[in-house]
Amino acid sequence: MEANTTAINKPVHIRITASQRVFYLLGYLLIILVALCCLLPFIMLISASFTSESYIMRNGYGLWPAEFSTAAYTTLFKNGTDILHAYGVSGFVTLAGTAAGLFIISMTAYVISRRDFRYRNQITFFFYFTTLFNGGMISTYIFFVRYLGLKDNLLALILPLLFNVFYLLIMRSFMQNIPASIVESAKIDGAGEFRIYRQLILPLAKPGLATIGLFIALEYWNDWYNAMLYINERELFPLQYLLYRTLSASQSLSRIASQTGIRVADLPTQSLKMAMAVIATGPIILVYPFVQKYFVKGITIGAVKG
Amino acid sequence: MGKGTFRRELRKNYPLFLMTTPAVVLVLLLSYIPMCGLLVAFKDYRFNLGIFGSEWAGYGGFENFRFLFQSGKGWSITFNTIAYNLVNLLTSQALAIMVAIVIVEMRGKIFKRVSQSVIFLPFFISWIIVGTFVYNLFNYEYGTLNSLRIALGMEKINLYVMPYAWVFIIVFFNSWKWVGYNSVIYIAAITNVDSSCYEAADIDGANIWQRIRYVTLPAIRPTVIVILLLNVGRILRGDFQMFYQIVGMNGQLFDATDVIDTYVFRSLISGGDAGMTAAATLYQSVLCFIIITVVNAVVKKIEPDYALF
Amino acid sequence: MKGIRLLALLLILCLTMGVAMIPASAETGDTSEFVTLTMYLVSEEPPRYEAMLEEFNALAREELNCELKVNFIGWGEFQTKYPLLFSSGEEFDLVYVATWLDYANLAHRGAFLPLEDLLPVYCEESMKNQPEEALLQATIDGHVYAYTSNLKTYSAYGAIVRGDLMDKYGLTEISNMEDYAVYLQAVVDNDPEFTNPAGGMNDILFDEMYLFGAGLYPLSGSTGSIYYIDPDDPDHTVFAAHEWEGFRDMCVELKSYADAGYWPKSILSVTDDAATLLNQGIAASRIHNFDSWVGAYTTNPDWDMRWFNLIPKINYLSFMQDAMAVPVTSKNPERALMLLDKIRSDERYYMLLTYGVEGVDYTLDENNFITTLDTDQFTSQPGTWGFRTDEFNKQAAGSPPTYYEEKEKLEAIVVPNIFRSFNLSTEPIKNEYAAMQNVYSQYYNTLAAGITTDVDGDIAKLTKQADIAGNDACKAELQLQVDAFYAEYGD
Repeated sequence: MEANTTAINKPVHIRITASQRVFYLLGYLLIILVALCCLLPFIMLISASFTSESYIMRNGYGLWPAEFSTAAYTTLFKNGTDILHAYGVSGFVTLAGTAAGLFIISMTAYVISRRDFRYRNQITFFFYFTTLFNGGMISTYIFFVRYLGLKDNLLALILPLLFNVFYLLIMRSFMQNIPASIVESAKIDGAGEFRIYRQLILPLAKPGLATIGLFIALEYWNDWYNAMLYINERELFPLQYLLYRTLSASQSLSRIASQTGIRVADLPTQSLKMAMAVIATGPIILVYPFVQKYFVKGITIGAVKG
Repeated sequence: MGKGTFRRELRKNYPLFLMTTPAVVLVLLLSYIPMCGLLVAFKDYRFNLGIFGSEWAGYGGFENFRFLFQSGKGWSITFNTIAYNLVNLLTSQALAIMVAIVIVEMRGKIFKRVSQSVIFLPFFISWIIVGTFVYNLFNYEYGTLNSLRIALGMEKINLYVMPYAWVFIIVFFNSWKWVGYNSVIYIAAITNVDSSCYEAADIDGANIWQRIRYVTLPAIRPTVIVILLLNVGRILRGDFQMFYQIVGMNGQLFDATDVIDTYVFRSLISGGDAGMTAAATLYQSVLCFIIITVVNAVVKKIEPDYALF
Repeated sequence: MKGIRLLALLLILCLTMGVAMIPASAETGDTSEFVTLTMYLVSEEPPRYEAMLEEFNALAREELNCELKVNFIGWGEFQTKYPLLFSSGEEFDLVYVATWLDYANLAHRGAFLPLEDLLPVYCEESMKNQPEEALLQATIDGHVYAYTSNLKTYSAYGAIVRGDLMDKYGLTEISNMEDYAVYLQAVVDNDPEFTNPAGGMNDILFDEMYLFGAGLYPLSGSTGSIYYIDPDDPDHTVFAAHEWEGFRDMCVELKSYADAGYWPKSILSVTDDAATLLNQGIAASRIHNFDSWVGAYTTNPDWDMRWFNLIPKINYLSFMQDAMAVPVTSKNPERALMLLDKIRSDERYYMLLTYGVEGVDYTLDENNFITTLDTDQFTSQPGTWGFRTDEFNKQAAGSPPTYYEEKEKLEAIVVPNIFRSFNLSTEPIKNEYAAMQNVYSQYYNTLAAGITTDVDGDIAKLTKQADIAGNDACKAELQLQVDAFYAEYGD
């Protein structure tokens, strides 16, 4: 036994076995291959966003802008205040939605993960059923607009994505890892349910919270569909939707040009799509590395044992 | 389970019930109330009469469903949808698990962080853009593939007349798009594994492959099962944008690539109505429901903890 | 028990909601009350639109005691949002409608207010210039549901080619598809940098050149129709495009063109607009109509774009290409129509909505040609085609000098065609028709694009699938409709 504890505290001998070598070789190969497949298209995307439209139309995409042009970005930032507003709206909706959504989902997931909760399967089915059957766009739209009066209201952007049953069930699976003995011992100590949830479960479920939090945030950040349905005021456009409208306007300009003969210079449409993706992705890619550090073990479960 | 037990449970676990209230209210409001829209599938929908005022459709209300099977394509698109979803599910999850294991086991903090970010990039590339990339890769005149073939002295190849090649293309792009996203769950699950299990394995002299096989994989089994089940419950739904942007209007490829969503879209371009769209969705929903209920029941028998409900 | 009570509550909620979704009927009001009218247009909103609307509403307030609010549905979202306007029961007063926006289907399903009694009363002024056919073309199930624009457009399609290249190759005339092929061959031989000489894209028009060229009329009223009739056929037999006697020859010829490289093999994946391909120098020509030629000429004056009509028998296109309608949910249909009347008969209103504020957004030269000053701030005609009029529509400066000449040539060969006013209803055969659309998108387009590897094999496949899909049922139903229509309106 003592040998064990000293073994843990001593610095690890790096004795790389043959099997480890093979593993690392194959592993690096896999990751590098996958990473290349993922990186190259994105580089092409960035490069295309800085390439002139006529070059793209004639020659397709390359890894480096052959004919440099910032036309796409100038078109997008033409209404600079619009973009700032949109970042603000998206940021607010994402933060508020993620916080609220994470709270509701984790709380509910905790409840249905408790094996001593008799009706957990029924409640879970109650939630799950809604992923199978959907009333459709028309009735949802009517309900939102005519009964909840949510036109041009940020709530219309937050509510639809707030509670996602898939995330609920994934979170539940994370929470099922937490041994019931912890909860029992806390209850014996006289803690209330909500307190157990807040002070015990949440810290232990950190990886789950980070994962689901990331997913919820991404959904909010990328959503333009709800904005298309419910938002008409330009100041309330989230980022993705604004970009989408800018692209649409640019495309319609070319359409009009051919019909009414308005002379329009090299209109960026292909490069515009690329620039849009770059602008929308940028913030997330910068934030993501910081989120990754939450993918660590929760407080060691072993610490509670005994 | 009568009224008595429910009351008792309510009293005993009062706080737990309370904690589910926000979610229950949300779901009631946002999902259950609008569910009356399902009726549209059975109605001859008129704008001035609304959902409840419109007449019931002919054929005992099933008139709107006929177009799915009218051209004899009904079974093939259903089969395609299920087959693609299954293959996509298995390949993308397998890739994500492999990538997740490697990333967790790897040394080098910077390498881990960078690779995690990089593999997430495809998630942000919309299918519209992927569609243009696919066109640039595979088109006959100047696509990258054909330019490569010419450079190697081979003849050009027209992929657009080879429907079954596109199965591979679609499966590839599906895995590519989701590998970063999918692996996040697995990375989180793996890092959650109790370190004492690994220590025990090391003491027993396990090499890394054995460690993966006997510690890591079993530990993430619950997560894998949940994700598999969740996806099985969506097995009749397709990612419309993925199929539509990659395949487009190339009719020659439809036999191999048409799924319910694309078929419905093309059928209803003109002359379609809300009833038919709702009917198609309902068809998908009912089949999903049947399938997941059966699968869930089977899983429950084997390992009750892994079942969805 | 609790479960049942819950279920009952849910049911009641659903029913209440459903009942409330039945739209209220329009009330009749008097004209002295101030109202705000809402109009929906399909287009992008120009940045200076609000500013223009201020001036517009100054006039409207003074003369009609009302104000106009305009909402735009953009090009990227109209497929979702436009039908939603009607199914959601939203209250608004005017909306742009068109054949390509599924007008007939929407009208049949009760989206619009019947106008036949209201138009003579509230649109007296503009009705003086409204052709009879226009009202007929807007008639669905016996009611006039839309007030169409009266701008004459032609069903002529032809080859828009580059004059500079024509001169270079020594060609002067294109009177049929063979001549066009000569031009395309010259491009392929001499100027290979045009990777798509004919401007082919996934919206194929080559087949229509043959079908229209043979004098056939598409029952849908526009390109992309599955069913055709021959207006000169006394029986007006309805047939599908692939059943036309000249179909096989057409496919063979198109295949030879595709093989010769007049358009790329992956034409069905080309999503770029042909006009863009032309402007960018990827295409050396395109098949389209008179107005597109005018546009192409104005955009690229150095290239001396020329147009050669390839359809010998042309008619005026249905006026239902662009129209305005009043939805059933409108609370002020009379005032809306009065405003519409003003827009169409009073040039001040028309110019504001269509071109903006004079001096700021546009200028007119001495020939009454119009120049848009800043397309970023106010593009011309933002969604306004629904109320375009022959009288007020302005020609863009920079239009081809032969504009009026070419227009005269077209006018000279216009023949009447009663079937332009025929509105087909796919309702009784909606399932078969949906199946046919699928069959055509899978099997027909390959042939029309000439990219098939086996013409006869593919024609056989197409025929077989069409039969399975219910081609005969469709034809039978459409024949009934055509015969009934002709009995009532034909000579």
